[in-house]
Amino acid sequence: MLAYRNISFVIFAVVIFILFLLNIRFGSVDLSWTEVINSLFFSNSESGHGEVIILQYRLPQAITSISVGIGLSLAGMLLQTTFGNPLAGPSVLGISAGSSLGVALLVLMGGITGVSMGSNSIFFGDFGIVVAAFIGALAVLLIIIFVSGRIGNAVTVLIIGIMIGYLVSAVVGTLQFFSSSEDLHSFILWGLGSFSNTNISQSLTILILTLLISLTTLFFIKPLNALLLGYRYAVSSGFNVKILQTVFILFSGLLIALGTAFTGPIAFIGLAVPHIARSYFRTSNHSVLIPAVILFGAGFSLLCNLISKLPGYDASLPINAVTSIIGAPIVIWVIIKGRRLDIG
Amino acid sequence: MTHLITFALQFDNMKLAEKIFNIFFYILSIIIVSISCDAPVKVDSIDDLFSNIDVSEESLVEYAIGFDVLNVDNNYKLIIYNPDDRSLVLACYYFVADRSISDNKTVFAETIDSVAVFSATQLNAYSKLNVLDKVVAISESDFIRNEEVLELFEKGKIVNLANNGNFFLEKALEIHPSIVFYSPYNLAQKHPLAETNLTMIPFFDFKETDPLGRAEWIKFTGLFFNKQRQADSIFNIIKTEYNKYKSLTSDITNVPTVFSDKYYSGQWFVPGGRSYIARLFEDAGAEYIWKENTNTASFNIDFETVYHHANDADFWRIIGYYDNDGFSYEKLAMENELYQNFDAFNNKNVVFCDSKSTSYFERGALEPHVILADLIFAFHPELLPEYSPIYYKLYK
Repeated sequence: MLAYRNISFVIFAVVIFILFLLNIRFGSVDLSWTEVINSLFFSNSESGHGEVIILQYRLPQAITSISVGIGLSLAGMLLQTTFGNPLAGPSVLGISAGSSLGVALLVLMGGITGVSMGSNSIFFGDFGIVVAAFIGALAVLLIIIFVSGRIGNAVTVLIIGIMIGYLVSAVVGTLQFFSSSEDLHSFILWGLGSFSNTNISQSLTILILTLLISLTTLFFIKPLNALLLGYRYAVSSGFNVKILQTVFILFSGLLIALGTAFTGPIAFIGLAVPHIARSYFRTSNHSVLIPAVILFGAGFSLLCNLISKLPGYDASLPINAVTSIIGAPIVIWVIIKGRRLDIG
Repeated sequence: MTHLITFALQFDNMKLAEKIFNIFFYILSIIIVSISCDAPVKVDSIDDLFSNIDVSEESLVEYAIGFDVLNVDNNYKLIIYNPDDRSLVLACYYFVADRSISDNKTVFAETIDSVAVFSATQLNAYSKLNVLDKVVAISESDFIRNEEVLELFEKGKIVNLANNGNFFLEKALEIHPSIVFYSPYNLAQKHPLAETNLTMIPFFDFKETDPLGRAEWIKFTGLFFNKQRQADSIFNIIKTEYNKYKSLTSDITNVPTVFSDKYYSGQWFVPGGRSYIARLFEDAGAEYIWKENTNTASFNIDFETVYHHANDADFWRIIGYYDNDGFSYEKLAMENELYQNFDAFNNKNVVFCDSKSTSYFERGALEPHVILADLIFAFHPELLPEYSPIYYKLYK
């Protein structure tokens, strides 16, 4: 079994590498493998504009895609375990909406208070957006944890999460009503979601931070497994569950904020990937699940990005359309198949 | 006996009959006079008035494709077409010379004294035709830059009926303008004010892809206020000026290439090859990178496609606005580092229009000749040596 898993991990790592190369190779403009390899590994390739497309456009997009895929999937897994709820996920529980609210407050409030941020002051700083997205995500997470502490029922928490999502959307809508057109424009564009908003240094920063948090979660395999068996079991195993929950929620919030701050809210990855990982390896053991979710998250995201590029066409699909088309059926499948609503 | 009575009556009424005849004649004269002076135009037959006119031959409209105007003895017929399909007539309105009142919404015989205008470009036409006093309501007041309109707005003579796409239905009913001019992007979608039963007339100048066609919509506005002559003369000046500038580029041999707009969140919205700006590029003596495209509106393509086709283009046209001292190459590069890979960026050949400070979107429609001259000055400065651009400036 162990060998099977290890072989699977190796195979998936190879698949991710292939998907990564395909993401670099295919796009609206047809570039040859020679151009791809020359651009990636040798400078001064023959085709100057091919190098720009590969190194400055496709490469950061693919790296961001990997980072966001890993970050959101891992956040989804942590939330599902922490809340004991298979339908928990960044977009479902309104956490992405919380991030949006944070960014909306930052971007749109300027117009209302008279200090216009403008579409050109991005410029309101990358750091500002990450912090705003993080605070927004965290605020919603705190409400969810408060509610779930009182109501054990997973579906009820889910419904409340969805309601919070609506509420936050309504606040964002009201902000939009009063904000200036320029601020609104930049916010709406952010909200559409795209992996191509980052340059190479930003994408590498997201990747490194995401991997750091992901590796840190490996130290929490035991408590995560204990939480799977229930709050009481975890307490009786000697874990301070309150602190653990807070840590996991902070991790999720950070991962979601890192993902959404640069790319806008990306739907369904966080919810769908942990389920794919669980059903593939037929286990909920986090020693398997964490690396599996990291690999599947990266692969799923790269696959969605590749599809959204519509190789051969001049235009590309919005990334959220693709993640939703693939992710939504998985959620429906989870609900139908797992009527017991457990995460085991 | 009966015979006797009849005879007696005839005899008695001989004089009376004369009187009655006089009264009858008098009443008849009044009726005839009143019919000839005050009777409303027979709406059913008003079409007959224009039935013998060939629209394609005798329309007073030369360039615009969204409407036609016919004239018979100072009676006008306005035909509004679906801008996406000219074979579909959306509405016809009649402007009759005599001042009779008609209940029919499609016949305007009296001067219109209160209108709601939801298009900023049309407001500019009101300024030019000197009929701003007829405007009682506008929409999206935050975006209006026209100083005359803003002054009337601040005095409370004009009210705002919409904010960020939300229309104030009750306020519209209270103001009750005679006509609401609106500019729908989607004809299939019912306008929020359609419920009010107000007379709603679409204004499609923004759909015109010919710069002169767009300017010609001033004739449309002029009709409603009996300002046909002023509208015609304003348009004729625009036309003469536009064609004068256009003729400058007819013999040029050096045709620079140009691309347009910017990249936003994964998509680059590129103006179609049959669009308004594409036409201006052509008339200004430049070759638009997507001139072969057949779209009249913008279409979205991926960054790399734009880069692939336009990285070595000579000029880059951008419209928008930047805070704090306007456009600069540093600000453009800050928006997206990828822009620095375009030749037009590196050679400092960005032709930028500050839409905010120039009020381009309000004033530009009626000044296509100025826009054309600006672009010619950017692409071929030698053709207009003394020129000073208004909207589009080449930033060096």
